Amino acid sequence: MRATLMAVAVSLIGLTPSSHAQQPAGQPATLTPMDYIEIRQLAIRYAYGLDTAADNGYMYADVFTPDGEFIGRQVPFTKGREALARVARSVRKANQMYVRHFITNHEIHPSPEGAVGKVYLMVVDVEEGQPSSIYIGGRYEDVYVKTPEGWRIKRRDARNMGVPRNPATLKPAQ
Amino acid sequence: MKQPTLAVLSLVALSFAGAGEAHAQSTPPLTVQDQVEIQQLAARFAFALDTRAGDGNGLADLFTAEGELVGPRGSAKGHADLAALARRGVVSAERPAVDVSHFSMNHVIQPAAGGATGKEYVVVVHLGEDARPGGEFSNIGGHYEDAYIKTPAGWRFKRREFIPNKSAARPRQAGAAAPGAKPAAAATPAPTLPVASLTAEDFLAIRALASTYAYGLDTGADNGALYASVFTEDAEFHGPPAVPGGKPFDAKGREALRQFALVDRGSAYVRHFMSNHLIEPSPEGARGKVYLLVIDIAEGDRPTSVNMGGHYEDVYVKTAAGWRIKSRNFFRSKSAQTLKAEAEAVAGAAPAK
Repeated sequence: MRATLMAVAVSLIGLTPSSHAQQPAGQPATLTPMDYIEIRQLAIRYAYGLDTAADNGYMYADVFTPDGEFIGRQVPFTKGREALARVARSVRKANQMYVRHFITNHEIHPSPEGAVGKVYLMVVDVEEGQPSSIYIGGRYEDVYVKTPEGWRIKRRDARNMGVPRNPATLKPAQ
Repeated sequence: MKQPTLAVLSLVALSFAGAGEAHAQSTPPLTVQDQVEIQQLAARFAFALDTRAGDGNGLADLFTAEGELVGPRGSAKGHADLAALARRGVVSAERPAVDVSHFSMNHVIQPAAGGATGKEYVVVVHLGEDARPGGEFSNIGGHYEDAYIKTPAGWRFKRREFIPNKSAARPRQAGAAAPGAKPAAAATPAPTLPVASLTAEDFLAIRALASTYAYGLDTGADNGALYASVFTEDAEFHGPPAVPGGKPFDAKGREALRQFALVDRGSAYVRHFMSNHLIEPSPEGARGKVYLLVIDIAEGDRPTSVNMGGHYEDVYVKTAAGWRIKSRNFFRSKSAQTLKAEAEAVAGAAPAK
């Protein structure tokens, strides 16, 4: 309790407590501005990892902990680095020029494990000469933990999404 | 990890609407903690609005007791009115099908007397409505203009106004002097350094460059000077042709870039939506990538449509005036199949040896 009050006090005058500060068990740790920034960068690297399949899928997989989990409506429950890398490699259109997963509104809160967050997602198919469309959209709900290598996603729940668009229903470009 | 201490964000060079250095110096500075908290406030606004959390109180609690949300259809002021507005919906009486609808990007924040002000782009998207697959951009988009106040409970909106997109394209005479534009400060290149860690201030300042770029390009503010101000004096910007078969876009130098942004579309125009700004340290200072969606928000009988999408690849340097873009390259989005087809077309067109 005392540590939490101190964290609030120093944050109000612009000083930030160490992200390694000891917290009473069960109490959410205070996040520093760099923690927020790093967690946001983590979510962003997720999008690049999926859209480019960079590093043979490992850019995507390495935003998760080694035992990280992804739960989605389209992609089955996936756990662990190798399985997650296979997911990224399975994206047929992926390459360094491809953009598809647009994320915004990343809300982050401290938690006893580290942090939790929610982030909006809009998957947009946009290529010159082809009709643009929103393939699917919704939000991710995440659990983040701080590891010796930095913040990582421990669990990403992508079930709060709409129904994906069937590419066959798109009208051809005029 | 380096812990940020009491930090001052130098937003003077990127300030909006002709705010002069004297004004900025008289307002209390924002710390990185302030910046992050205000960004979180904006993110929570979208969730609270779309989920109608807490029976509308989720949205109302983001405002001061006398806080106000203003839009073209009216306004709500005070906790009870704000909660009631959130319950009945701002865009529609029906709650979004997947509780996700307001996508906000390009959030810029600057200190102001009494707290801070900010702007943020927004586009409303219909996802899964009536069980239809995929999603559609609605005809609603524009930007917010905000006033924030720091309360004992944290930063809150004092006022948020939604300004719908509106194009008032008034091409300026090329070469016209930029009124009020300050002479560009000599860009002092950062010394060559080993790859150093970036501080929280660095990340926030570099993010602000990308957002300010969008405002500068879309509004043509200050005769293109706002757009040009995010670049170094000798910056380069390269991109593909605007139309197939056309000439690639190549601009070198801040003046050439200012000329590119000379179309005055008015302060309500939004078109370049940036997201996914990835930033990493580099020997020059930093490198980054940013996703772009060019969205033409509905006007008159024309529905909302996506004009193009792709990503920027940037090099940033820290100058005496703050972080600036030294080089920017834009790449249209292309699937692996498209790249393969293009390569095959080129190979097929090449003369046989």
